[in-house]
Amino acid sequence: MTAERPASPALARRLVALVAPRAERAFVIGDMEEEFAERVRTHGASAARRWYWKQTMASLTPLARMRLRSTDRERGREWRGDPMWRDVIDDLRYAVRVGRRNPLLSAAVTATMVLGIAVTTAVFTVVNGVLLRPLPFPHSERVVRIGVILRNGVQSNGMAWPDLQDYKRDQGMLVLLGAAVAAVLLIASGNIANLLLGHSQARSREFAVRSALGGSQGRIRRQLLTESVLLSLAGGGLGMALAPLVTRMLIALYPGGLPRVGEVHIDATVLAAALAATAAARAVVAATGASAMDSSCRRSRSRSRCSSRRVC
Amino acid sequence: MPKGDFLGEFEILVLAAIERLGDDGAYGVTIRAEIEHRTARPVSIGAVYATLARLEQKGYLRFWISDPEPVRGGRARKHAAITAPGRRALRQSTRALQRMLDGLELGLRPGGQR
Repeated sequence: MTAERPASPALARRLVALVAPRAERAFVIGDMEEEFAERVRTHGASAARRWYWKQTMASLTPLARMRLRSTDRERGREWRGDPMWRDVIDDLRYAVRVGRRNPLLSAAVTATMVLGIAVTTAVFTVVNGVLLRPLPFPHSERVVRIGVILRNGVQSNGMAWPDLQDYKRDQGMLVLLGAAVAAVLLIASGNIANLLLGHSQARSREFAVRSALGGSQGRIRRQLLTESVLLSLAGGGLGMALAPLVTRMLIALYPGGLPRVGEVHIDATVLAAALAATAAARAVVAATGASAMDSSCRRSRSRSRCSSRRVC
Repeated sequence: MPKGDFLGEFEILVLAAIERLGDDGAYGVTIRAEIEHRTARPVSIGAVYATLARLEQKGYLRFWISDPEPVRGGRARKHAAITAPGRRALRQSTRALQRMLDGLELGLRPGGQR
């Protein structure tokens, strides 16, 4: 007897379920479904669907606020996973707040990191494509073309054995180029470290208060680690997104001047190198934070709170 | 008188709706509909729930969950009931409002239409 009942919009329902506090989810959706069914009868299915969407859009903000307002205790009750992840999520939330409180600093650090990583990735992409990646032959590392141009302009295809030995030594040039690339990143990292050092000094009070309230050194350290991971993820991600653009600019600087330009593209090797670069930058940031924390430790004179391995 | 006893506008509307709907009648759907019909302004279910949660935290109302309806797919509803402090806060806030508006020519009549 019952006809096929029109269903409420699934996407809207899922949005509400995603945003609403876990404890309220079933009640909110249940209420919306109840009124939806009523409206299908009185206003028709399409009007009811429009109403459902309107309700959803108007409800997302208050529901989200409600969820954020719920206290730690309630969040704890709501949390069903590993407590370690709750700490991580708390740390992330706090890291975002710290970032928003100092928008200039966050922007400066991220921008420096983006530029450093984009340029490094781009240079390495070109170096990798032009010089490092093997030619498409088996044992391509053994393929050599050696020629000599004599002073009178005559080209000769042969060369003396001792001369060849000299050229082999010069292959170290490639390594030097790599080192130059690394230096670019180091300079960027240094700048970031400087910026953050100043910031951390300003925060030493915060760390002191936190440890006075019973926050362990490990917990504070983890907080700093989370902050630096967040910053470097932002910087690294944007940097890698920008890298293809910088690569194209680099290639455009040498029209026709670079061999094997067609083979230049960002591949797994480059990506791995960029990731390593990001990790290196991250390590610098983390180290900066930790040292600032120790300096706050030293100033706070609360010897017992400071790790015994350090002279506080 | 502590400052916390005064209610926001929407809090007043929600508490008044619960009072009107009575002990068994007040839950998300009816509260939302009551406010929407009486004030003729759109009310979202999310706003109702957020305000209910805030009022419960202040101790002005308590929730009780109804038994699931005795039909297939029947669900339990989250009902709201006003508490004594809630009733007091509602009275205080509306009284303050009334005193402030008393004698003002705003075209207000008791039980008047908009």
